[in-house]
Amino acid sequence: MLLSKNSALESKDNEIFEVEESIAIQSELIKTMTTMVNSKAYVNERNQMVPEARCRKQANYHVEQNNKIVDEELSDWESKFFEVDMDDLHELFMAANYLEIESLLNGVTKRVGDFIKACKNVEVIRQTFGINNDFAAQQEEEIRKLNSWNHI
Amino acid sequence: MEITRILPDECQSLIISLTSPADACRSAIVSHAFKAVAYSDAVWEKFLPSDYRSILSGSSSSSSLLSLGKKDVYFHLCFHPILIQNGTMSFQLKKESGKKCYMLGARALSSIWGDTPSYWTWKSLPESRFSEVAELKVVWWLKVKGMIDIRILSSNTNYAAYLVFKLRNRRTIGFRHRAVGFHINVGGITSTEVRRVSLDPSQNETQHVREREDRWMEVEMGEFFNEFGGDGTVQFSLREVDTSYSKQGLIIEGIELRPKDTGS
Repeated sequence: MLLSKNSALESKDNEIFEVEESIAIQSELIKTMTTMVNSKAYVNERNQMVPEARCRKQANYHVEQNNKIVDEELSDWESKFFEVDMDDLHELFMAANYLEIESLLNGVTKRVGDFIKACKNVEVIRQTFGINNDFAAQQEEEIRKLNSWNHI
Repeated sequence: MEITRILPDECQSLIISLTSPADACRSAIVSHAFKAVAYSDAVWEKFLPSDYRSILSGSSSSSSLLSLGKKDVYFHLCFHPILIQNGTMSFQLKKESGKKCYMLGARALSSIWGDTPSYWTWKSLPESRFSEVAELKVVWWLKVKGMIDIRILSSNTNYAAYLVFKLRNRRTIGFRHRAVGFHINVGGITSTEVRRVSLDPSQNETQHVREREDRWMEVEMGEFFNEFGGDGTVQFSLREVDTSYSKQGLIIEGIELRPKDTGS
């Protein structure tokens, strides 16, 4: 009976997570490091890394759950997972970006896109994302006019 | 999160490309940095249909259009239908969604007595997008058909077909307060949609005919849903084969296919 290989991953704040290797390699970064470091099949491997703190846990959790749930439940679970505020999304993004986990990145970008879609007007976008308006009044007016859309 | 400072440009473009053309235009007003992303080619390439280049290559305006930024291509295609297929069809995009709209010109349709000069004539009208429209001189058995390959339409979309026409002010016979039949077949399944509508209804009848922005009239022939991966053709026809009365004076610009919101 084959034991599934587990990777032990250490985060920057010294927490150790043990994950199935098949899940761990969903991160392109981990995959590359594993290929470089290991050449034989061990039941436990130890990879040293320095990723960001809490992000790690969330990333793992996501990936792990991803593999357990069937499709219909998955999309429900995913929408709940991403129903977080902008700061948490920021952390998730940083984790996904650093670890190069495509599915997580896609989930975050889609969620941010949903935020934008939900903004009824420009001012709400600015507030939600904390962006300063650096247009002069006249410039802004000009863009609104040139904008080929009717309802902004 | 101050999105424009934290996320790399490609990520911001990806985010905006997951929204909609209207949201992208709204985002352009937010700030200088956001405008640059919102108007970027990376975003508008995603809003354009994936096969837009090959569609444009079938048109005479392709080289000048393809040199524009993708956002400009998008809006040009929304507001200026381009002629394709040797000028017998036109193509444009629906602004809100980037979904494809086609109009089959009269030359792309077939009529039972089509090429017989005594029944139909071909005319050039300045208000037409095509070089020629068909005018009905007189028939008793009226049948006009068109068809389109379903694969060129946007998938997962509800489409409606519209007869685009005019009736001559005088010398129009056989349409006043009388109905014609519309049939739509999808993929060879016999008449999934049949309706009878008058092209020239009386005041108290429900008005299905409306005037378009290009000053032609249109009436909905029927609708169908184009599933993902659909195959085959959609066929539409206009029929009025009661030979007890003649029909005259119908001018056909074409049949337009465009997305329709379900339930509207």
